[in-house]
Amino acid sequence: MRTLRRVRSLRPSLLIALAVALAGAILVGAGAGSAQAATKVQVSRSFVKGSDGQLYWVTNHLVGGVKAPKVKAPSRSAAATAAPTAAGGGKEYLVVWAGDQNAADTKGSDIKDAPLAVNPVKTTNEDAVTDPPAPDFLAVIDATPSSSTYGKVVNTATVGPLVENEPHHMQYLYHKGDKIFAGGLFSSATYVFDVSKLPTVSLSGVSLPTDTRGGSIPDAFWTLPDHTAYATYMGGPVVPGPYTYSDGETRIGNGYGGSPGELVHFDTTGKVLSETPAANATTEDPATCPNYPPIPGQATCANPHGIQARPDLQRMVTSDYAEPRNIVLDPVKPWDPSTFRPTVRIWDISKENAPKVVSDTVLPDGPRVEQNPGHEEERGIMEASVTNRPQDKGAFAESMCGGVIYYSPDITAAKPVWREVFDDTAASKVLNPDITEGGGCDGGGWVQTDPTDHYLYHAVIGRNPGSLDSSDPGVPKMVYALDISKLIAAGESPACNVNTIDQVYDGGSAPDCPTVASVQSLPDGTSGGPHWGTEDNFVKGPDGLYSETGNITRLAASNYFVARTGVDGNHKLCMLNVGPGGKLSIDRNFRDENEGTPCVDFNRNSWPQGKNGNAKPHSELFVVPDASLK
Amino acid sequence: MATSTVVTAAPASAHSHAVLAGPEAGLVVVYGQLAAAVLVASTVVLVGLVFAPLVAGPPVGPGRTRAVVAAAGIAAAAADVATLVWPALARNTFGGWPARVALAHLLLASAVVVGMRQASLAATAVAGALLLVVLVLSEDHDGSLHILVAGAHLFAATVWAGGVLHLALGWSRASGQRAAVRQAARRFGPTAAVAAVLTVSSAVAATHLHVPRAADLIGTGYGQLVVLEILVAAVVLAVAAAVRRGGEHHEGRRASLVKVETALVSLAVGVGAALSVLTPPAPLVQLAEYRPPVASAACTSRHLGHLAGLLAANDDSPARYRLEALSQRGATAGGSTWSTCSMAEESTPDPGAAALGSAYASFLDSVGVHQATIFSDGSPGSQELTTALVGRARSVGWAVTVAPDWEPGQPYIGGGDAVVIATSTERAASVLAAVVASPSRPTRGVFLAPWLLSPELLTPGLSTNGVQVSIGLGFDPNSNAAASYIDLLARVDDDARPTAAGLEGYLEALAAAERRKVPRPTGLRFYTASEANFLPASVSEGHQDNSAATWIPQRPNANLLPESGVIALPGP
Repeated sequence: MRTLRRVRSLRPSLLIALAVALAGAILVGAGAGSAQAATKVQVSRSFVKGSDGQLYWVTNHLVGGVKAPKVKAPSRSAAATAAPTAAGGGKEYLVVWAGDQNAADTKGSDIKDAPLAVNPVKTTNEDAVTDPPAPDFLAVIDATPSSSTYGKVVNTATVGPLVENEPHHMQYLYHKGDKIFAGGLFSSATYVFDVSKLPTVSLSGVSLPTDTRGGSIPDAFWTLPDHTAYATYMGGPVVPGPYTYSDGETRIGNGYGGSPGELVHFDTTGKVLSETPAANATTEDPATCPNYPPIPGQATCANPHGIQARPDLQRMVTSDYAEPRNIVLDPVKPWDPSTFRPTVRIWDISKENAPKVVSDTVLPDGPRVEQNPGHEEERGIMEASVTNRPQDKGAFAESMCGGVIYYSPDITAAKPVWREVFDDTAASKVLNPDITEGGGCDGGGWVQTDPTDHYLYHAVIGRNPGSLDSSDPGVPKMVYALDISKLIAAGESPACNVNTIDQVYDGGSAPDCPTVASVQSLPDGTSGGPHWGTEDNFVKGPDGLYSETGNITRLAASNYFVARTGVDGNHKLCMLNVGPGGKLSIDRNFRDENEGTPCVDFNRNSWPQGKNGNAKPHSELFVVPDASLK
Repeated sequence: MATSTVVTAAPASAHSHAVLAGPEAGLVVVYGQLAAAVLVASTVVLVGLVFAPLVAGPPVGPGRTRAVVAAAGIAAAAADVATLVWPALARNTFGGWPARVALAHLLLASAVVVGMRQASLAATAVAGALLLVVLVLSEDHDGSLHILVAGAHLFAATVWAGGVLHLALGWSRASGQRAAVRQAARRFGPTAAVAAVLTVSSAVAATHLHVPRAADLIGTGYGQLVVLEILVAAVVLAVAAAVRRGGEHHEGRRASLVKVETALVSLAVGVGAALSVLTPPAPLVQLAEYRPPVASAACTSRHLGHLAGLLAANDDSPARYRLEALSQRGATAGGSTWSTCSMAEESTPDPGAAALGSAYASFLDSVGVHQATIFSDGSPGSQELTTALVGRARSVGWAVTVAPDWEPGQPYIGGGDAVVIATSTERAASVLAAVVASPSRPTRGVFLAPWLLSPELLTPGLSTNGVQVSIGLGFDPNSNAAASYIDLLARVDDDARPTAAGLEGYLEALAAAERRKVPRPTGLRFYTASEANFLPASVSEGHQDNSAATWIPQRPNANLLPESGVIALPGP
C-alpha cells in the first residue's frame, strides 16, 4: 500500500519529467535536424599571380567527403601552386561557368521603389543573401547517370578577387589534357582552369585586359591538339587608336567594345602567345561594316564571337556578331542594323602564332523581307561550327538576329561559298504548325555538329508572344537537331540554297538540304530561353574508364544569356538525351537536388560556398578527370 | 559659411516584428498581439504561482489557487493552439514563433498545471522555469545584454507577482486564514524585496535600452506604457509597504490594501505583457557629425555618401533619420536640393596625388601614349598629380603639355594621344566638352583623375561619336560596397548622382561606425564607361538589360569595364 502510494506520488513527477524531456526533444531535435541537413564542405584554394603582380585564385567548395589537401599560398616569387588532388571516382561531370546574380542587377533608381533584391527568392526567403556581389564560379555537377549524386552540385570553384566578371563562354568541347579557358565578358579577363582532377579545380593562369590590349570582351575559345587555345575578343582595343599586334601589323581601333576585335592565342597558363587583328589590312565596305565612331580608312565588321577550328585542314572559322557598344536596345527602330555583322572569316592557322584571315565573306541575305531590317537573315552571325571527319571540309554558321543557318562546303577554298541552308522557322513549326512569325531575331545561339557530321544541334532563345508588339506570336524556345548527312554527303557542290520564300517555312527544297530530326522545347516560364549547349563526347567503357566518342547520346543546354538581365530566363541546366534518329528528349533523371524536378536550377538560396542566392549559368562542358579518362 | 551636418539615425529595433502589407495584415497583427500578451501574462501568473510555494509556503487558499492556475493554463494553451492553427499569427507577431516552440510551451504549461494539481513542487518549478526560458529566448533580442535584462526582469517579476497573487488568493475573512497569510507574507518578505529590487532595476535597464530618449517616453505609446508601468510599480511598492506595516488592529484596511495591491500587480502584469509584445520606438541616436574640410565648400555629394553610409551601418533597418543642416544649402540648376562637390572638397585625395600621377603615367605609357595634354588647376591634389605625372612622363620621353590657364569656352586644339584632366568636376566638364567638340581629339581618349568619377563626365564617352573616357580608380566600382552605396544613395535622394567623393563619404561613415579606418588603396585599375550590349532589343525583351547599380543613372545600360590589371601605387 505504501509502495503503491509512493508510486502514485511519483507518477506526477514522472509525467512532468516526461513532458520536460519531450519539450526539450522538440526544441533540440528540430534544430539538430536542420544541422544534419547542412552538408560538410571541404574548402581549398589555388592561386596564381597575374601580370599585374596581384594574386588571383579559385576556391573549391567540395561537397561531401572528398578530401583535398591544403594548398599553401605561393611565395612572392612563385607562380601557380600544385593542384590539389582528388580522385574522380570514375565519374563524368558537367562543368558550368556561372555568374553570381546580385543586387547590381538592378538599377539604383529602381531600388527605392521596390524590394532591394531582383531575385524573387530573396523577397520571400530571408536566408538567401543575393544582394552583395558574390564570386562567380565554376559549378561541378555529377553527370554520371548511374551515380547516386547524379544531378547534384559536388563542387563550386569560386574565382577571386574580381567580381562581376559576367562569365561567358568556355571552349566547345573538352579533350583530355586540355585546360578550360573561361572568359569574363565584363572583366575582359580569361581564366585558365585545370580540371584534370575533377571535382577539384585549380587555377593555371589568368589573363587580364592589360595582357590583351588589342581587344576587349572575350567571347569563345577553341583548344588545339597542343592544348593551347584560340580566343575571340569581340570588342576593339582597350583604348582607341593604332595598335600593333604580335605579327607586327597595325590596325586602328575605335576603342573598348568597338572594333576591330582580335584573335588571341593562349598557352596553357593563360600567357598570351599572340594577338592577331580580326580585321583585314584593307578597309571593308563602310556601308556594310559601319563603325561608331568611324575608323578612318579601316571600316571593318571584324567583331568575332564564335570560333571553331580544323587543325587538320589548317583552317579556322570565326563568326562576326556585332560591335558590342553600339547595340541599341530599341526593338522598333534599330539604330543601324549593320552593327549586327553579316560576316564570317576563315583563317589559315598553319602558323599557330600567326593566324591569317584568308577570306571574309558577307553572308547573303535570305528570301525573307523583314519589317525590321535588323531581323534580316544575315544579321548577327553569332556562332559557327566546323565539320569533323577528315573527308568533310565544310562549316556552318548561324545568325542570332537572322534566325537561319548557313553552310560552306569547303573552308579550304580560296573563296568559300556560303549559302543559307535552313531557316529556324521550319523548326519552329514542328512545335507550332500555326506559327505566323518566322525566325527573324529568334535569338539563335549555340550551334554544333556532332563528331560524325550527321547531325547539327542548335539552341534558340526564342521569345514570348507579344515581345515585339501585340501581334507578335513569339518564337518557341528550343533546341533542335538537323539531319545534315545529305548536305555533307553532297561534298563540295551541294544544291541546297534557301533562297525562295516558300523554303522559309517548308525547309529547303533541294534534296540535300538539312531536315529536322527533332525539336525539343525547353520549358521556360520566363522570357528567357536556351542560349548555349554542349555535347557529351565521352562514353564509359566496360572497364569503367571513359574515352571520347563520336556517338553523341546526350547534350546539355543552359538557359541564360548576359548579365544585368533581371529576372529573365530560368537559369536552368537541362540534360537532353539523343535517341535514334537524333530524337531529343529531356533526361528526367537529371534532377535538381533541391526541387526534385528535371534540370538543375541555378536559382537557389544556398551553394556550397554559401548562401549567395541565384546564379546565372552561361556555358557548360562535359569533363572526365584524367584518372578516369583514357 | 561652414556646412556641418549632424546626422542621426535609429538602430534596429529590439523587437522587430515583421510588418505585413494590406488590410488583413493589421488584423493579424492585432489578434497576434492580443494572443501574445495573453500568453505572456498567463505564463507569468502560472509560473509565479508555481514558484510562490517555494518562497512563501503552501497556498493558504489552495482551491482558489488551483482555479487561477487552471485558468492561466487554459489561457496559455489557447494562445499556443492559436499559433499552431493560424501560422500567420505566429509569423507576424511572435517574432517568428515556430510551431515547435508553441508545442514546447504547451507541453510545459500542461506539465505545470498537472504538477500544481498533484503538488509535485520541485518538478513543477523546473518546468515553470523552462517555460520562462522559452518565453525569453523566443523573442527577438538585440544581443546578449537585451536577453539578460529581459530574462532577469521576467524571472524577478514572475516571482514577485506570483508571490503577491499567492498571498492574495489565500486572503479571506477567516482569521485563521489571515494569520496563515500573514505568516506566509513574512516568509515571502525577503524574497519579495529582492524580487522587487531586481524587477525595478531590470525595468530601468530595459527602459534605457528600448526607450533611450526621454522624449519618447512621453511622445510614444510604448513610452507611455512604460511610464504607466513605472507608476504602477511605485504604487505597488508603497501599498506593499503599507500592508506590511499594518498591524492586526487594521485588518479591514489591510484587506482593502491587499485588494488594491493585487489589482495593481495584475495591472502591472498586463501592462508588462503588452510591453513585451509591442515594438519599442526606434530611437534617434546622434551617430556622427560631418564637417567638410574647407569652410567655403558647399559640397553635398560627400554628405550624401556619408548619410548613405550611416544607413548601411545601421543595417538599413526601418530607421528614421534626420538631416540637420546647420547652414543653408544651395540648389543646383537642375532643381535638385543638393549641389555637387567642389574641388575644394576633394583637395586631398587619398592616396597621395603624387602616387596617382606616377600610376597614371605608367598606364598611359603602356597603352601607347607618347604625347599628352594635362589640365590642372591650383588645388594641391591637382598640382601633386600633375607634377608626378609630368615628371614620370618626361622621363620616358613623352611630350607633355600642361594647360593650367585654360579657361572654359576656349577650344581644345591639342590633339595628341591623350588628355588628362585633373581639375575640379565643374572645370573638367568644360574641358571634356571642348575636347569632344574639337576636330583634333586625343587618339587614346580622355583620362580623368580618380576624384572625377561622376556621371556627367562619363556620359560623353558613351556617345557613338564621342571620345573614350577612362578613369583610374583605387576601388572596384562593381564591388559590393559600390553597389550598396549607389543603392542607398537612391534612397537618400532620388536625384543624387553617385560620385567618387560620395563613395569616400560612404566608406568613411561605415568605417567610423565599425571603429576602423578606411583601407588605403594600394593600386589603381583603369575603367572605361561602356554601353556594350549583346542582344538586340527584340530578343532582349525580358532579358531586360538592367545595368548595374549604375554610376551613370541617366544611361542605365552603361557599365564601368576594366581596361587594365591593378597598377601598384608607390608607397607613401
